[in-house]
Formats: sequence, C-alpha cells, structure tokens
Amino acid sequence: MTVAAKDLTKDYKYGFNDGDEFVFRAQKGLTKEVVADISRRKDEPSWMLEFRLKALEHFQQRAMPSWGADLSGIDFDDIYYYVRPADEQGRTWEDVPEGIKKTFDRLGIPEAERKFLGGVSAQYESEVVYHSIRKDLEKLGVLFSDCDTGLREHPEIFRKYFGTVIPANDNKFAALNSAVWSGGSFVYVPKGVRVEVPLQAYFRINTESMGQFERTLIIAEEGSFVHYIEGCTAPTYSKDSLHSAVVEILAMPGAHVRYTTIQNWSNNVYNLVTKRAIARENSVVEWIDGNLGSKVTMKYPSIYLMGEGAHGEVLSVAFAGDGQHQDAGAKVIHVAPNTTSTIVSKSVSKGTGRTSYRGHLKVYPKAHDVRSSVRCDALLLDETSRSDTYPYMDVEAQDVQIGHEATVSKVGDEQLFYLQSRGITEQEATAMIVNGFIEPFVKELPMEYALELNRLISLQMEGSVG
Amino acid sequence: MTQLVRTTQLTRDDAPLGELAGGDPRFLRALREAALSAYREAPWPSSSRDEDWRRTPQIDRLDPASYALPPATDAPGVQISDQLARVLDGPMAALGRGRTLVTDQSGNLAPFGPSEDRDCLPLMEGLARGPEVWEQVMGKLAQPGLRKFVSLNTILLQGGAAVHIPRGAEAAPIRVIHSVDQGSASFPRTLVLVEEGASVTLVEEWVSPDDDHALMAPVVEVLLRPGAHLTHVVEQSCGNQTVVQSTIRVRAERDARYDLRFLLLGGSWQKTYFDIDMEGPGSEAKSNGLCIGRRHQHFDVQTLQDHIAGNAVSDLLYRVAVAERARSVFAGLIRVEEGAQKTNAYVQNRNLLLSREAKADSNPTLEILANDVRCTHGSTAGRIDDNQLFYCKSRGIPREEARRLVIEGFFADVIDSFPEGTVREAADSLVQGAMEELTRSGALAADSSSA
Repeated sequence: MTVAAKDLTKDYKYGFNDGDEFVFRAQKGLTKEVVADISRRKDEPSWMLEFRLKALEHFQQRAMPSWGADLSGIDFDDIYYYVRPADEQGRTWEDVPEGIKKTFDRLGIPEAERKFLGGVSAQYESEVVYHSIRKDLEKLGVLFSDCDTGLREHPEIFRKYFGTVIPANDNKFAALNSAVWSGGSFVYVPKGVRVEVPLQAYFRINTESMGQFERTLIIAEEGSFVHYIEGCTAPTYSKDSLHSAVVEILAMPGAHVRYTTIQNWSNNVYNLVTKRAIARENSVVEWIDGNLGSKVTMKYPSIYLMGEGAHGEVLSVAFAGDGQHQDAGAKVIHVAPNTTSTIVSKSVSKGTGRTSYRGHLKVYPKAHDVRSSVRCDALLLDETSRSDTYPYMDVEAQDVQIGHEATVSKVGDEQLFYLQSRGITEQEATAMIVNGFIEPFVKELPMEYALELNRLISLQMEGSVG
Repeated sequence: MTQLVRTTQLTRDDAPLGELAGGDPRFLRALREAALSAYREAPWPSSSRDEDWRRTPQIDRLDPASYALPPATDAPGVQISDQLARVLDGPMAALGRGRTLVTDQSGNLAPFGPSEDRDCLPLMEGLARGPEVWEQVMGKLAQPGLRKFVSLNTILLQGGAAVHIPRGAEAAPIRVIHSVDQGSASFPRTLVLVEEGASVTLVEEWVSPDDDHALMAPVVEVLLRPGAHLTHVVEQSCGNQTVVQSTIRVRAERDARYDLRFLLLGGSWQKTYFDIDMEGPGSEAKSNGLCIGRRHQHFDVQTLQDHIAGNAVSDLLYRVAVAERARSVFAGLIRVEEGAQKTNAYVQNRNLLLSREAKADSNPTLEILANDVRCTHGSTAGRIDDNQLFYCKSRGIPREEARRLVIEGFFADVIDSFPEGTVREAADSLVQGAMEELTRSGALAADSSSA
C-alpha cells in the first residue's frame, strides 16, 4: 500500500488564535525570582514557596533525559512560565472575558455544560478562568476546583497529599512543574461518595512560547468513585510551546478512580507529562489515555499497586501524523500481593509519524499471586511511518502470571479487499479499519468524547490513501 | 593449580598489543591497532549509565587485570590442568590446551587443515594462509570498538578457528571447543565464511573448570553468502566461577539461512550478544535457545534481528528456567530498517520461575521503520502451572518428579530443534546434567512453588 503523505497540520481544527489578552505575564526564562514572583502573586503560604524553590534546584541539577523522544528543540530560556489572563475567576459564564469566551464557544464548552456534565473548569492559559460546580456535588461534600483554590481554601487536605505521589525531584519535568505550577484541578471525594457524572476540565494553551504547568491532585477516599475527564486542544502557533503537567491520584481502600484524557495539542507543543496513581487495598485505578496532538509527547501514566487486591488498568491510543512523535506508554508497579493489572495500547503511525510504546511492569518479591497482561498493537500506514515497542518487565516474584504481546503490522490487504469488494472506497475502508482498530479504546469514552475522537481520527485520515 | 599471574598490562582502559605468535598479517595489525585505540577511548561499561548493562551491575566490579593472560598460541601439547582434562573428555585432553580444539561430530580429533569440503584451521594459521579471505569477515561484522569486549578480543586474539566452506559444498559437521584455564582470561575468535550454496553444521562449546575464577570472552563472526546455510550450535557450559562475555554476529546475504541453537548453562554470570543482520532478501534466521539458571547465576542475553533487506524472515525463541537465586535478563530487539518491506519477524521469551528468589527480566522490543511488515513479540513469566502438577499427581507421580517433567516439557521444543543425532544427544545430556544438579540441590523438591 502506498500512501501519499499530506501535511495535516493545515487541517488543524482548533488552529485559531484570538490574540493575546492577558493581565500579567512573567518575564521569559526561569530564575529564583520568577518562581518567587509566581508564589507571591498567588499569595501562597511559605511552605509552598519553599517547595517551589527546592523543586527549582532539582530541575536545574537534573540532566535532560537521554532516552525517549528528541527534546533538543526546547529552549527553557525562551518560555513564559506564568501568564494570568484575567484578574478574577469567573463564577458565571457572563463574567468570563469576551475573547476567552469566544475561544470556548468554538470548543463547545457551553454545550458541554448544557449536556450537564458535573462541573466545568476551563483552564485558559495558566489560570482557571471559568469554573462552576453543580450544587449537588457541593452537597455531597465533593471538592472540585482549580488547584490554586484548593491550596487556598482547603490547605489541610491539600498539604497532606500534594507532592506525595510525585515528589518534586521525581524527574526533570516533574521538578519543573513543581517549581512553576499553576492551575489544574483539585478533586476531593469523601468516603463512600459516588460521583455519578464525570468531572470535566478543559485545558488550553494560548500565549506564544508559554509553558503550561498545571497540576492536578485527585483524592478519592475509601469506597468512593469518581471519573475525571481532561480534554486538551490548543491553537497552533509558529513557535514551540512546552506543556509539562503533573497529575497525582490517590485511591484509598476500595475507591475507584477513572481518569480519561484526550490530548490534542497543536503540532508544535512539547507535551511532557508525569502522571501517577497510588492504589490502596481493593481500589481500582484506570487511565484512559488518548494522544493525538503535540509535536512530541512523553507520557507514561503509572499505577503503584500498594494495597492487596488493587487493580490497575491503562488503556491508551496514540496517533502520530507527519512530524509527530508519540512516546507514550504505561507503568504498573505491583508492590502488594493479589494485585492485577491490564495494559492495552493501540497506536497508529501515519506519514512520517512515529509512535513508541514504552512501558514498565515491575513485580516486587513480596507481591505473590500477581496477574498482569500487556498488549500492544501498532498499525503503520505509510512506508515512512515508524513504530517502536519497549515494554520493560521486571519480575522478582514467583507466583505470578505475566504475559506480554505486541504486534506491528499494516492495514491488512485482505480486510481492505473485503471492504472494497463491497463498494467502499479505499480511503473509507482504511478509516473504518483504523476506527475498528482503536474501538476497544473508544468504547470506554463518554459519548461526546467518542464522537469527537471519531471525528478527529477521520480528519487525520483524510488524504491518507493515495 | 595454575599460578595466577597478575597482568599489569590489561586494565579497564589499556591492553597489551603484542606480536601475535604465528604472524600478524598487515590487515590484522591495522585492525588490532584500531581496536586498541577504541578500547582506550571507550569508557568501561556502567550499569548506571549504559542501557545495555542496566540490569547487570556485575560489570561495575569486573576487573580484567585480575585475570592472567596466557601467551597467545594455538600450539597443541601444552599441559593442561587435571580439572580441565575432566571437562574435556579423553582424546581432546590429549591434544593439550591450545585453548581451541576442533573435532568431528563424534569427538574424534579432526585434522586441522584443508580438506575437500572445508578449510578448518586454527585461527592464526587460517589468517596467515588466507588473509584476503578473512579480510572480508574479520572486523567487518564485529567491528573494533563495537563493544568493549569486542575491542579486547580483537587486540588479544587468543586462538580460535577459521572455518571456510567452499562454494556449493556440503561439509561434515565441525565441532570447536574454546576453553579457558583457572585464573585466566581467554579471547578466542571464530570466523565462519560459508560460500554460495554451501552448508555446514558448526558446534561451538565454551568450557572451563569449576571453582576458580576465569574470563571467557569469545567473538564469533559469521558471513553467509547467497544461499548458504549454517546450523550453528552454541553451548556455554563453563565452570561456576567463570565470567562469560560473548558476541556473536551474523550476516545473512540473499536467500541464506541461519539456524542458531543455543544452551546457556554454566558460568557465574554472563553477557551474551546475538546479532543477526538480515542483509539479503529471502534470508531466513531461526534461533532457538534455552537457559537454566541455578545458584546465584546471572544470564544477560541481548539479541538483535536487524532487517536491512525486505522479504526476510527471522524468529527467535528463548526459554528460561531460573531456580534458587538465579536471575535472567533478556532484551530482544527486532529492528526493521527503512524500506525493508515484507519483513516477518518474531521474538518469544518465556520464563519459568522455580523459586521465590529467582528473577526474570524480559524486554523484547520493536523498532519498525517500514510499514508492510508483520512483527510480533511475546513474553511470559510465571511459575509451574498448578494444573499440570495436579495432573501428574493424580497419576501417582511424586511432586519432585512432576516438576522435573514439567520443566523438561517446557524445554522439549528447544531440544528437539537441535540437529538430530549426536549433537542433540550431547545437548540433551548437558541439559540433563543441569537438571540433575537442580534435583541434587533440592531446588525441585523445595515446595516453594505454591503460594
């Protein structure tokens, strides 16, 4: 099959630019002063300032990772580390500045609200500007706010868990985030509470060369359930942007946390994210992770199964078009006995796109009766596409059943022939096969996301068959 | 006991580039000089810095200066220790140390030297007689500087064999034995050139005596011309204190076929590279190997199936059983280069964990730069299936024997893939030896398998 490579970035759906409208923007580059200034402007307690400054030291000491994607295009001195678009947080839709509202209109946020999703927290640039929580959530005692508000209004809960899953010195980019973090979501679900509607947040990057360093902290108390959804779209700019988030999840005994994200940054964004969950006894943590956009993504959602009977699941899809490198994967660490995990990764490479699955499965000596299965499938659409699979597996326990399988192939000629013999064009047939290939992922998404993902895939597939 | 001679010249960043006994053809001298400068430049491998060595920290403590370097020679007649004589049975021991021995299939000494269907010579003699032949192979596959131990092997070149099978010949099987004495390091080189349409079976054995430290660091280079066929059997059954560092590099040209069968049983710890370049379309490589890890043994195996040309097929199956405190590390890369369409490649690594303290790391990887391919890998780790034990038990088979049967069943496919006849029998008896050892040490009886 030969396929014409087309520049898909031109079709980027959300590639509009509203023009900068910000109230405050820190100077470019990263120094102690910039970090202190961010903390002062946010009026943070002193422990947070100390945390940030210590993290900055770690960041400066750490070397760039020598593995994974090519990160040589990042210039840390040419990035704005903090941008605050509007002074006040808008509580109602009317309060939101007009220019920002226009951007959200095009992303369909009001509709999302009308569709009565739990709460809408829209991150436009570095600060949450629009935020609403449905009253019944408040009644249940569920806290859902941006992370800055969480720190301000619930310092006792916040301080207890913040930075405990991903310490500031975990890796270079987690350290960077810890130093300059701003915005992101704070979710606290009390004991036994089931949040039946998904909690949603939209994240956006707007200012050119502006890094976005949001921080998300989710705490699900004993026996609770929550589904958090984060969708990302970013306008296209000519200069590279850096996005480096940190997401921490704590699933207490018997809790169930599902985190769904579809990342569709524009094709000039470096997306370097640290996501980690700790799962206590009999809890369940699920990462549903879609990577469609960005220039380079390095993201390996991880689950530490710390309590007996815990279960972890990572289901991910990566789509790399021309010039994109999706270096995504999953990490599951079995620390406790009787823990189980499943990893399913699907990736599609098109044109000069490159997808890499990079995983790590570790079973500690005391973790007996562990079961885990890792499955990676890759589809290559063009001669110039590339796919890699690096699934590290360290097994130090004996009573385990560990299985890993990976396949790399192209769209099957027989499948294509079958569909074409029924009058379907090659392009439609290819799109159908690709959609069928990622079906196990799509069916886990809420309806509107599933529809959006299908639309995005079709868009990406346009002109993919020559 | 051989007296341990501390070599001051061989260190982590320098090695003696002496004159080789038996001549030093010009191309070889240049190659060795290049290897020396590469050896001096390259840092010693580090488990914290080098991905290849991440799971084998033993390298950080390995000091080449602690091994004696016997004079480089293939000359027979050197007295060998009693222990080594026991390792090498009868007739071979009589030949003397020489460090590399060549025999026919049934263990009779094969005459070194040219015959109708083959040209099998001690390395130095081969190089001296046909430098123009070996120039195409030596250092071309395992280039000086490729790895620290390849450089070292190229500089020191302590014996080995040069096997040349002429065009179209169907040569009789050849057996090459590399040995190393107590307290010593050995750097043998095997060069294999199978010309167009020719075929041969080559059995290589790496042996050393038990209970004293030694370093065995062979390099094997195999060039298969179009349509050539090599069945390559590699048996590592070194002594329990021997460190093994080996590199095997194969290049398969158009329609060539390479069958690798390997047993990894001995040594204290081992790092082995199997690199296969599928250089010509239509080439085919099938590798089957097994490893039985006992005591504190550590086996680090790294394989590469590099598909440079399209329309080639490569398979690699590697089965591991680790008992007691043994550890297995496996990394298997399938790389499909740009344009290598219609590649079909497979890697499978299965690990059987026989004790709570045993460990298995498995890392099969794929790097695919073409799209019309079928590349898969699979990896498993687990203990003996309770259902299988139950089945045996219900038929009155004692637990220990049942476990042994299950392990033998696990390895049966691999052993059955060895060339029929004496080669398979020999392989089977080596495996049985390792199984006996497991039985003796109680590793099979220990009821540690159930939770």
